[in-house]
Amino acid sequence: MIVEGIMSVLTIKTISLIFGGTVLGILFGSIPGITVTMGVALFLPITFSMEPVQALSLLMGLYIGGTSGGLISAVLLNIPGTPASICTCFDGAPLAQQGKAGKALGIGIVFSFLGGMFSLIVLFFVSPWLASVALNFASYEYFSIGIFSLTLVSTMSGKSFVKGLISALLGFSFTFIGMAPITAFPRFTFGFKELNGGFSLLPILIGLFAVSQLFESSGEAEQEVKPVEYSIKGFGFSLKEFVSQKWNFLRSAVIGTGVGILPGLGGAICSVVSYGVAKKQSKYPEKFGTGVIDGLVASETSNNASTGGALVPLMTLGIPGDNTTAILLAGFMVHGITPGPLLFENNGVLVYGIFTALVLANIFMIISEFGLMRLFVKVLTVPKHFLLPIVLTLCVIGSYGLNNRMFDVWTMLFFGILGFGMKKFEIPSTPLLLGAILGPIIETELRRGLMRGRGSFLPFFTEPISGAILVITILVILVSAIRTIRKTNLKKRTS
Amino acid sequence: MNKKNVGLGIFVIVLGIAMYLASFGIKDFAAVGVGATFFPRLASVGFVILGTLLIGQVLRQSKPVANANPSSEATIPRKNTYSVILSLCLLIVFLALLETLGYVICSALYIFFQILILTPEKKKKYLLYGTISALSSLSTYLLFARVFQVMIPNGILG
Repeated sequence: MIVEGIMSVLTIKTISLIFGGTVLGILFGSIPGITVTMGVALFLPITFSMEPVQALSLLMGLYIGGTSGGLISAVLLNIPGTPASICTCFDGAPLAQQGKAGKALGIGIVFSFLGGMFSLIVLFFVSPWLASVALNFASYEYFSIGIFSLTLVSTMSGKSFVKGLISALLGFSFTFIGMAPITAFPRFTFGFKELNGGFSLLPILIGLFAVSQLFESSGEAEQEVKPVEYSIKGFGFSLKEFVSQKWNFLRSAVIGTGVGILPGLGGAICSVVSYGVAKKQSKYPEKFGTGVIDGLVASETSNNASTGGALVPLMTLGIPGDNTTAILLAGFMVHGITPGPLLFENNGVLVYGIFTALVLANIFMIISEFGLMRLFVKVLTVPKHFLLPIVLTLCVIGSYGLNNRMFDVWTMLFFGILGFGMKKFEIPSTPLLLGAILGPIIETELRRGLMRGRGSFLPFFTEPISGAILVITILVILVSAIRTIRKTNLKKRTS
Repeated sequence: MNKKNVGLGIFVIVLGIAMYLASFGIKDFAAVGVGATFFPRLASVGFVILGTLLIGQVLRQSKPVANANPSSEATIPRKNTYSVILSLCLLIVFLALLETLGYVICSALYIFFQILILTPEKKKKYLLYGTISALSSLSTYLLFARVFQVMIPNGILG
């Protein structure tokens, strides 16, 4: 099965799709204001007519390339290309200012690659095992995992956990629209026939993460960007420097993969955590932020390590690990494939095909970032006011192409306006997305579980795995509540 | 900021109440366990609680920091708010005409005007914008509709 999976990717067409995806992903990642999430969403419609393995290979290329591409603008412009590369700016940009941009890029690229590969090894070994465990999961476990994921993402993303929960609940509420699970009675359709099927996931995604960005950029004055001059010789750094980072690398890779596995958290949180830990453990924490390579290694290793991590819950449980994997989930569904434990049983060849595509994407990423750097830097200087309108027309194609109806395009616009409004009120949009994905799972599994337990809620708590997850969920809520109260008290005292 | 959060809190509470009332319109039966109205009602109660919490948080903080942050209310200058609204209107017109005029014409016009809205004043190069919009709309159409076989509204050109 493994060999068959590898062979399914090794065709000229699929390999070129992965390469093209990776290069385009790097471009999307490197241009500030255009994110990986947007890139994957825009290219999803292209895959409608492809074989599943080709489609997913292209999307994986975009995902891997995009996650790494953010470092280019972080180093050369001091603007993170993606939210996950914020910490790369801290030490990457000072290095570039000191005339060591080539070194900063070289370190960023190499450790991106190593971080990505580390997480793939984890994905390769952990996910089949987790899938076999998850095969025994019943409604109780799925319900609890859904609730846990939603709680975690609500409390971790954004500044206020109340706003995070509002966002998650809003996402959940949108899934009420349409047929109710199990009994199939229409809910909240207000007589509109189009609403019977509910909202499709893709227009919600495109609206929240691409269209809202257009409004955001309309409200900002565009600054002219001027990348710092750079030159890379070899990898840009010495073997001694490389060896000095081995523990930092290992720690950051473990953090990146580990945090990445937790549902809904994603690369941005991974790199912030790794950067913080690296600074704390360092012998010279005061130098962080002035251009030490340790900070750069921590950030770039862990944000790329989050890719393999985020794919673990997606492939084994069908729960996305971050925004971009949420679109990958849509990518699976468009081709009639439901990620989850059964994927490993029924579609093993595809699973190993995807693993191979991910390895290839990482290799293409390091090759093209060294080889095509001039091209990427050139694109950085293309003004955003030319790119965004074109991106928007692609959003329209994507939403319309899904079901060939205008309803989805209007849905996209609605969620674009909603996403923009939420940004203005500092409400994170990731919990909304997760709410919209997990809502139906939570509702269906609760109702199934209750039918199985003859109306009793008790088994949700007494089944060992389900019970343990629910206890952890309650702990997460308690800890965030205490943290919020402490913060408010501290604010009160300081003011 | 604080005012904004109070407004948001009230909105969330009203949303919760409205959803609760609307849930009475759902036809439902459940022999065992909970029916189709369970989660909508649970969510509406959640909204009311969260809205109240949000307002409560603001009230707890509000006395000492009432006017500490006056600038945050005006982070978008007026002119830019104007261009956000203009972009939105343009987008609505684009979508409304999409099926009649077809993708190529509509998107070319849209890209042209959207670039005009986004570009800082003074240095407007109409010919360049026109070329960019025509080329990108045509090339995306050919790429998606012809090469990748995605359905796109053809409109009067189809």
